Amino acid sequence: MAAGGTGSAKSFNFKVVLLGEGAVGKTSVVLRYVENKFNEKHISTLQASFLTKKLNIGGKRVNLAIWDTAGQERFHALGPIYYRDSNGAILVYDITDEDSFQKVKNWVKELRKMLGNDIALCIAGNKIDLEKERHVPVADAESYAASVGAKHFHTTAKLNKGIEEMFLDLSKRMIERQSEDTHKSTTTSRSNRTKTVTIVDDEPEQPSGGGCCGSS
Amino acid sequence: MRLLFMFHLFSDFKHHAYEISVKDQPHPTVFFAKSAEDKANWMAVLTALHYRSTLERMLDTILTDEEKKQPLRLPSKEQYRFAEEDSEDNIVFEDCQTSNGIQVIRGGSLLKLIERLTYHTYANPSFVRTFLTTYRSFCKPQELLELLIERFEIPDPPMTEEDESALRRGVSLVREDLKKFRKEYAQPVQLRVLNVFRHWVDQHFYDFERHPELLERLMEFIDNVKGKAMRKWVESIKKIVQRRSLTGSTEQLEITFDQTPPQTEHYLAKSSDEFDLMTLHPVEIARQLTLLEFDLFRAVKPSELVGCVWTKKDKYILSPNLLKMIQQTTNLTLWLEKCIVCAENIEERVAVVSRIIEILMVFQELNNFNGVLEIVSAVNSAPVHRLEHTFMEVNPKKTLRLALDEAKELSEDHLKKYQEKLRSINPPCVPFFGMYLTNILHIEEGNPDFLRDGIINFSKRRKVAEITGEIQQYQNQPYCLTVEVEIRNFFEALRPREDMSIEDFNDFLFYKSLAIEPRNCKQPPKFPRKSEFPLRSPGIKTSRNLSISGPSKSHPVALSSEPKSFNFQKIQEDETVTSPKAGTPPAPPTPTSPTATSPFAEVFAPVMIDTSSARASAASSSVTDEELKPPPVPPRKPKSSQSDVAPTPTSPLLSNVPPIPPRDNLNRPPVPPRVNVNGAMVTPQVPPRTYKQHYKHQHHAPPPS
Repeated sequence: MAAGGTGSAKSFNFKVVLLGEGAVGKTSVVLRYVENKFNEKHISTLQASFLTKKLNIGGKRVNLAIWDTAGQERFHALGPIYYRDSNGAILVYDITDEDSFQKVKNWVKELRKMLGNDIALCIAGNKIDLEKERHVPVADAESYAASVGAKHFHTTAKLNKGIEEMFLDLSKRMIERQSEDTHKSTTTSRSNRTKTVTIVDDEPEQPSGGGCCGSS
Repeated sequence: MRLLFMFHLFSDFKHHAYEISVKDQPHPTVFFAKSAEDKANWMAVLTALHYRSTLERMLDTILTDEEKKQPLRLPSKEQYRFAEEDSEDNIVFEDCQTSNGIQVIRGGSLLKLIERLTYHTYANPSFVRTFLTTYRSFCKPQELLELLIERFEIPDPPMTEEDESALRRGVSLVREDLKKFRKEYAQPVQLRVLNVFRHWVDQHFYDFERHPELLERLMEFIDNVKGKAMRKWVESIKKIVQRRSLTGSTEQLEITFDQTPPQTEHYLAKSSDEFDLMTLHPVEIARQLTLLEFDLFRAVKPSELVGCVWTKKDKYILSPNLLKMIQQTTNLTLWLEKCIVCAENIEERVAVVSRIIEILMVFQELNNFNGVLEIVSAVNSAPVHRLEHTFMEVNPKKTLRLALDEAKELSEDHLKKYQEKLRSINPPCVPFFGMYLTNILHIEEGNPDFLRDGIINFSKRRKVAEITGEIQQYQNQPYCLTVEVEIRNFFEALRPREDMSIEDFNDFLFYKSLAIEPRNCKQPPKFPRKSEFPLRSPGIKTSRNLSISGPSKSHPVALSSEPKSFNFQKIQEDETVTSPKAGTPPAPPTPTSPTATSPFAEVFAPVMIDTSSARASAASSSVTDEELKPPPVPPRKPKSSQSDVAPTPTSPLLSNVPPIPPRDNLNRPPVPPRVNVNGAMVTPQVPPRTYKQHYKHQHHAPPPS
């Protein structure tokens, strides 16, 4: 499958994957975004682990296929089957859980190794309703995000803050990338491009912070 | 058939003839019977048919009257908490019913759920299964046990005022209401409580392993249970407990097949210290890994999934088998990556990757999807995927490239192709667990635990149980392959990371990858070979050894598609002690289409489990659920289903006579208008007797138990 993004001027199809440690609230974020529900109402339609959302951004139709990997975190080594062909990734951590932020760094590293800069990244510090128990300093998180070319968002699925903005921003950036691509090489078809780009391996951008506080 | 007909008896007895005329049709049909007796039989049946509906209505009326005279009286809800009446505040039903007319519970208070679990008017095996699979998400085992004991200890209803005054007058009193209460309420409820216990210890013994005091309490209770019918159940429960205590809940059953498993494939490795990716036969590697992964898959219990306990703090206690399975998957993928990047010499590396793809092909053949995704992940991982020069050598081998592409496609589009394929193949298979995990998590997170205060959302649990049911379905189809203990040990002991952290190990793999194929290198640097094994693969086409699978060496038929239930049968000592089969919940769409034939079909013997028998057993499990209603059938209610007491169709006397269709109250056609019977009336013979007997039973004998 082509990585999404049919180049036709008006409609875009993007695949977005949600990654992150268990219990950081990935599912709540998606459910909030897609169904605007957070554990309050009866959700009857749920079954598929992937959800879709249609957007209209400045007259451009965007279809997001959102793949939640919640529950599968412990299949560490199966990462490639989740993020393959993704146009965007949302890396979620829990602001009260330092380890979950460390996991985000690992994911960024792996995604950059594999997909280079071909993927738009968002980092979501979730559960800001629990601000009092925050263990990941805002400054650290934001400077880290900037250093790896990702956008950082403060979210809470519970209070429905930051989520809409995050998906909107991600969509816009994916559209930009797409348009740049089509500008650069009008002749190369999208699917070809994906195949070649994934082999490009730039030195993964590694801010010193990422390496040293290590894995302990 | 709504033919209106009349029958005449001819006076001409010599010919044993009789005539049937359909109303408003001019020409009657004349039948000639063989003998006078034959004719009498026919007449008896025809008459019986004709009068049946009238008689049945009469019977129903009488029974309704009886019922009214003697309503079922229960203790008050103050005396007995389970006697509270249904109301909107304590129980909610789904709009739909099950096929046998049982209301499906959407939610209820814990007391109401337990009442329905052990309901006096019907057994509900699927509810028992779902409940015991999922209850831990809303109730502790200790709490459940105490509630069931409380449910069992039913006080007698108090005397009516009439009775009391009669007693005061000194009239010796037979309390009919008490008799009725015991027979129609107390006894069925108690037997159903025992049935729940039995199912519990048989299918969920781990509850008792984790909480020894729970078992103590249960044994103490059942030891004090009295009554002959009850004791049989108690003995049966004890036997199960004994067996489970010895073998544990993760008992391995020996499975026998009607076909000989294919012979072990040997290659270079002669002893276990020589075992490795390149020295073992690729077919055997794939088989042994498949068996290992299947066993790990099979060990995962529904209770490890309900409530997403594998994501919770005490996951190692609550989901041990699931985590073990995932760990093995991770280890294998990492090991494969390591094997690839540690083959520094390019020829060797190409051989290693090719061998791994061959194993992938055998996995596909064996429907080991977990294995397929392990390999796809390894090949797509950052350190391996970038090895351009290696794949430039591998890709021209068309079979390998196609196989790899096909496998990669499985996981695309949110595993779309995988899901399709899983539905299209015949088990045995090893499904990929990740998909189930996310689906369960979505149901759990997307639906509230309570519909409202105190009303447990049971429908949410049922949805989760549907998924665990599908998993169980696949767990019950074993592979017809032989375990090679040493090879299995080798793979179980794989620790590719040794004591490195996962992050360090990933870095190690990546730097190794950069060393063997530096960025943008035109030619990979030359490395000498470190190993001595030949790089050529023995291939994965094996000739199935016909000499041992011929008919002369007939093997026992595959025992059961459902090892657990087979197991269950063994302790079933008599037919009165029956219980819902410990089967699996409703089947997922049965995969029916045959496995696609492929050039590699020989690598393992064709699907061993006779699918027709598997299907039959699946079907029968639903039937037995019906037939094996554990406690006695409560007395018939007018207008309720009576299908289980259908009259015996023929008696020896009426051997030549067509059987009377069984009575079917549910779909009974409207009673035809009465027809004048011309000619000599034959005394209507009572249709075959069960009817009357049944009626008698209602009044004089306890229902068959």
